Amino acid sequence: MPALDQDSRASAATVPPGRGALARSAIVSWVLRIATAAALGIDAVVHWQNASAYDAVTGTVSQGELFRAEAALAVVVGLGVLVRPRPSSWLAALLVAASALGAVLLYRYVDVGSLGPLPDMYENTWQVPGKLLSAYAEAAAVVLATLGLLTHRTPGWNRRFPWAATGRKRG
Amino acid sequence: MRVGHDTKRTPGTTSGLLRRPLVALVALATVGVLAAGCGSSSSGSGGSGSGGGLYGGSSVPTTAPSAVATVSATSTSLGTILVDGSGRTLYLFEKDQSDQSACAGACAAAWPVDQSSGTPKAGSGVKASMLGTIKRGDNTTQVTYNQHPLYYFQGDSGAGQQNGQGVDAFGAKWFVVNPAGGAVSGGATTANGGGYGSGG
Repeated sequence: MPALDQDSRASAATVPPGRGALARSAIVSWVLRIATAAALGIDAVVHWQNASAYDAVTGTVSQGELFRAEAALAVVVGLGVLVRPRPSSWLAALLVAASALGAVLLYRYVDVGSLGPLPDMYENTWQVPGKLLSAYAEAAAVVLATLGLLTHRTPGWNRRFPWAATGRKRG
Repeated sequence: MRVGHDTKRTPGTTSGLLRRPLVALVALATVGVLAAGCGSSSSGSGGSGSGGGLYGGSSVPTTAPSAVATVSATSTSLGTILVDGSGRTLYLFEKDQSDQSACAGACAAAWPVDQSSGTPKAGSGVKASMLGTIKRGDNTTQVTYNQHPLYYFQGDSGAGQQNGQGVDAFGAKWFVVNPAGGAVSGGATTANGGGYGSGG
């Protein structure tokens, strides 16, 4: 019965994802969002609490001010992925976490001195309260935000972020 | 039940990644590693600075505030240096000024101050005239030598270690102190404070 087969195929093609699949997707999404926000929260707390000890490390801006800015940024992007998990939110979280992780690793292992308005933040030790924990949290946030970015491609994702689109050429 | 973006997706455009348990597993594993990091970093307590809990803290037992500190000199691979009554290495901070500490908060948690309830005792090899104390902002009394406030290092777990020698932290370097009251600049290290080598 060709007519029936066609109907069946058409019906099967438009069946929405089951409740189970949606629930699993929602759970994964929430796990990613909460974990990313938590990791960024740890980063923020450590930077905020340590900031005062670095106020005397000065360039055009002090290291303490940079720590407070990092803490504020981490809170904002953490709330972003928690409240509005858009690709732009995940991208912001990824950039903040990656830049913080890059900075702590650079200044831990390379004495680059003062860079432009930045003070000399070289510190060849992990023996600073929360420093290692914060680095772990930043690394975790990088992984989690990357997962969040990869798993939140909505139908409009390629249109809004053509530079990251897969399977199609630019321009 | 609100499921955010997912309810708006058509079957053909919903990311396949989202359905894969691997993503959830990686996310949970990352959280687990993070939690383990929290646990390991929250051990330790004490110190004269803020510390404890998530923030971490010093594992160096400093001189009890009610005790009178002793400062002695001992011979090490770095030369003769100052130690406390139990042989723990004492350091000076280059950023400090005469009888004035520039280390507080997180700094004092990483570099606990050598406290004393009164005039510290001079042990062997130490000039008593160079010993003194300063009052800190938190009302504790810190031992000084040749007007250098003295500190321990969180990375030293016991007597005979000088893991803080040459460490660059909180905007300046930290050095062990010789009996003449100066910094011992040799043996500067770029290693983690948890290491044991102190160079020569």
